[in-house]
Amino acid sequence: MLPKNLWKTAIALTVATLVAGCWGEPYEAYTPMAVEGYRPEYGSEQAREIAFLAPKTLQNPGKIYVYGQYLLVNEKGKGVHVFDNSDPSSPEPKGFIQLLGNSDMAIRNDVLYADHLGSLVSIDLNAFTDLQKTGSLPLQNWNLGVPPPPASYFECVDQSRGVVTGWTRAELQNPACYAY
Amino acid sequence: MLTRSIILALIVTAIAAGCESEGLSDSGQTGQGGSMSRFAINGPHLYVATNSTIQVFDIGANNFQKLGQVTVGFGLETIFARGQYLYLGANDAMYIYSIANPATPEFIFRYAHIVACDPVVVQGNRAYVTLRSSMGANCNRGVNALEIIDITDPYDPTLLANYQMVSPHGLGVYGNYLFLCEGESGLKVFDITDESDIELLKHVTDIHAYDVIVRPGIATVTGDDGIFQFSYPDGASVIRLLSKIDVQRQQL
Repeated sequence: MLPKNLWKTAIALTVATLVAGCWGEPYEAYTPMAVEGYRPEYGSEQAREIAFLAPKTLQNPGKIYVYGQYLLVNEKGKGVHVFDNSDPSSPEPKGFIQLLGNSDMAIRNDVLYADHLGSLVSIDLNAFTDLQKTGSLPLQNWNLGVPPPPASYFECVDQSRGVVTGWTRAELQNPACYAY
Repeated sequence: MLTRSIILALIVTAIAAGCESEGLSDSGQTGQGGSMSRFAINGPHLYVATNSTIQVFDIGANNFQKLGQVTVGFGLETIFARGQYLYLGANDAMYIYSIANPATPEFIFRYAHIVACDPVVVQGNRAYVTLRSSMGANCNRGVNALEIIDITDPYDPTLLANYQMVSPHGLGVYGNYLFLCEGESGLKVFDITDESDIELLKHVTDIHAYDVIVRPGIATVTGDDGIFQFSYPDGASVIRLLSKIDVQRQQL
């Protein structure tokens, strides 16, 4: 028969051990350490403009859209690749529409509707010769910028520096942010 | 003479039928997105599915404008417009909204028997839905399947069939052909003539497939290793690869 106080101590110790076990991992975040992670890249003023650029290589293709002879392929968070798909055996790259933050698109009567930096914009396509932005309205509850790669540490985003346009692999000192 | 009249009548009927399937007279010229799209155009209206709402835009005039928004629920991922209805894929349900009044989508039904993480497409009175368990916190329910749902009565959809899949993502349907993207497990093409026993016609295993646009004779497939275009049906073989747009993958 243990004295009453000793029982109490034993229980307290057991509980403390269990809690430490459960919460052990986050403790590491408080001790300074260097880990592999990602650092945000912020878009320049130039990168925030809507522009029709020369064709680019696909890197992280997202959603697709067909309109007449054209095939459009979203480049996640960056813009839209345009192909002349008159012959589906041989799609011809026409150019790249720079649209920071983009994920979705649709076309009606030669006007492209796409998300750009959290807004819905309309762009006159003019047969992909001279693109003209004709309107913009905010989209509510819309994802902004490019999310960090999943299951990795990242340097927390500083909103004052603008929209995140991509992520660079880097060694981070004790990062406070983690993407699940 | 009689033959000519019959042919003429047939042509007129065909044209009329063609117009009818296009829907409203003010449909305009639009394109076609994949099943993962959050944008859907119907007539002069654009419907955008955010995480929790449908936002409605009038795109009939030169300056597009917002008409309103409707709160649906959480975890919306895809939207599909067909006829007078919107079909939304969420991570725990399929929603049906009426757009009889285009500016104000009206709730019809929430089909929550399914635990879905992915999209819905509609052909005729059938909805085709993929359910996928993944590592995502909201989706990990151990289900990977294709469901065929009778939506003849949008107020009372009923499950017709459920087929086990591996890792189903986007899908598309045209006529009797159903294309289903199985992520890293490739692309499957089914003959869905017999809904109670659909037939796997072809399994393309050497590509990654996440979404597909199916048009008559052409299927365009997107994956992280390329954009693939197939012709179907193609003589003796079901599908044939026409082209691949290369991807030089770079970690985001």
